[in-house]
Amino acid sequence: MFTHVIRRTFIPCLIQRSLSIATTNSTLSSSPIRICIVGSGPAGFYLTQNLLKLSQTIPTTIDIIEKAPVPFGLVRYGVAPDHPEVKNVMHTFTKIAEHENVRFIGNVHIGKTIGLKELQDFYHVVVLAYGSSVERSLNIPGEKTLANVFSAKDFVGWYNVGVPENAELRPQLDRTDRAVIVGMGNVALDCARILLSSIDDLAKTDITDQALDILRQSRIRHVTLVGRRGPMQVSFTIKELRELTKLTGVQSRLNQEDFNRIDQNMIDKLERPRKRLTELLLKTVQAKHSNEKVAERCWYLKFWRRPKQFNGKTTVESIDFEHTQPVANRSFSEENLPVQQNQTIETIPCGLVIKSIGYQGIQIDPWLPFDHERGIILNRQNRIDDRPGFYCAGWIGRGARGVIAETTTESHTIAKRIIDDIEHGRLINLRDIKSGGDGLVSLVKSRQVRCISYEDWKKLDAHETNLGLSKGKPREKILNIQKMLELTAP
Amino acid sequence: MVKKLKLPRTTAVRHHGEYEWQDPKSEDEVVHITFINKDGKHVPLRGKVGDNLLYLGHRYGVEIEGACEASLACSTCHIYVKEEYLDKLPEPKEEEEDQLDLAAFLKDNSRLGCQIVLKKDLDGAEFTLPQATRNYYVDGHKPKPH
Repeated sequence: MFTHVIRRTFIPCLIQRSLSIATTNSTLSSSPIRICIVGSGPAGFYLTQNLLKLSQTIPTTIDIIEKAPVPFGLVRYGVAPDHPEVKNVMHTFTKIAEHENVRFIGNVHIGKTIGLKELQDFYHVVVLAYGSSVERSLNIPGEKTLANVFSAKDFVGWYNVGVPENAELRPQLDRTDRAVIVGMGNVALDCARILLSSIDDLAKTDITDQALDILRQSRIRHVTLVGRRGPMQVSFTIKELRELTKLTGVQSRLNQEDFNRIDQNMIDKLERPRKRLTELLLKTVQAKHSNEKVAERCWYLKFWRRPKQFNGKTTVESIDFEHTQPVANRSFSEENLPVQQNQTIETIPCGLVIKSIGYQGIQIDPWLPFDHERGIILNRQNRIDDRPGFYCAGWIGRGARGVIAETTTESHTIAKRIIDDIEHGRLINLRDIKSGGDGLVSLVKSRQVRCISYEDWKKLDAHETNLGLSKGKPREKILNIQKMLELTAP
Repeated sequence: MVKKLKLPRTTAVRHHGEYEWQDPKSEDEVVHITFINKDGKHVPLRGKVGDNLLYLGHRYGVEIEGACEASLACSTCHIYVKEEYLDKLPEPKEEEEDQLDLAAFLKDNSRLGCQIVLKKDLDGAEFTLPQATRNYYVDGHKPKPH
């Protein structure tokens, strides 16, 4: 079917390739190994960087395929706008994308525009690094029906421009002073910080103007984070907690009783990260008592509560929580402490709910072996089960947890495995000549979809940066895909 | 057709990493240090007083990442400092400690490379990159629930 794009078969080269692989495993062939990476977030870019380093003696091309017209995944639409330092990594990614053996191909939806299996026609190696794109559901009454109940993914997408629909989210922040965030991870703290920060501070970030307009009208003064476990199981990290404790005009209201069971003996036994985090929580509890002046805005942590149902007529008005407790004989300080409900119901009033209980990945193509319960691709050491030549990297392979440093470490290991498989002849298709990006782009074209190159993106990048400059922001993101496509037009 | 990848040196325009590309003006300035790479290979370098360890590493192609460009927003330049030189470094700032909490394979001699500035008494110091070969997401690993 695709002979027109892969007919660049070049017999001498094919023979040379077969010989070189069969005899010495050296790869002196002039026909390159074609690698494609699906997803242009940190996992995709860092893997590309490591593959480039390790494949210096092997002719290789690497194409990074992205569903959106723009690159960088969560670095663009996940990292909080008030964390611009984290986005410095875009400079490194740009250097990688501009490497002569790397090609960025945006606006190509694998599993939709192009089937996963079809990628085999163009590439010897396919790495899936498309991340975890859906929020877990609570599956409780009112979750899907009431207004002003959002998933953190949609809420973050609203202030950060995730998928274009998120820009239309329009949370009502002017009719209530109380927000509840379900979950105690870093995304939950990001959302809390956005709700509590002063508008003047936010206006200097790359938060969208649209979100800024709504936040300017916000009456939210109390933000409560609720978790089903205790203070020693929170999953946010110390930097994010510290930031929240230092926000101007914002008071941390932690409850002394929640921390009474933590003693020095318990703290001494903890690993360093949990130890320092717990110590900061304790310090924050104490700080409250020395500072009783009225704060403009406050945040709270409520532990041992699991949401049971959302109440309200059309908009959410309160949440019923059922109290929980550690299951018998389990320690209060245990990292993976299981809890059970104890039938005590408590109703907490609120006019805005953000559910931040974790992300999971989706199966982008039925041909892909997938663990639906965990939301990850079935793999052994990043090699996808029963699909030779297919690998996975980042969150879609190991679950949505961890910071960028884990991804850089992991990508080094994965690159080694892939190069190792190539050099030891574990991939049987290496003798085939593949057309790589040229073949893919012409197939995409034939399906009436326009690919976005890195050069195209740079036009949009310049446009966004210039728009931002006039407003004192690092960037003003374009919300609309159609507009993105216009601005990237050749 | 395949050229050597030059390590991204993206920071020149941002007033970071430029200084490290200047050679020492005199022997008085020279600080000899050694990086020990992820594969155990020793890379001896001739740095100078005032060099930032991260950018000096970049100049000589050491595989030390620096995602946030020395702004204390990540832990990708995590390194181990040879014990006897640990006390010669200024105490880490709170922000550095917070980032170290997120580094993999944290040890007592862990520091962030971007926070180390060379001075004369670091002559002879060794900085080891954490090994990346350990697979800490072994098969059957279940991510912790939130």
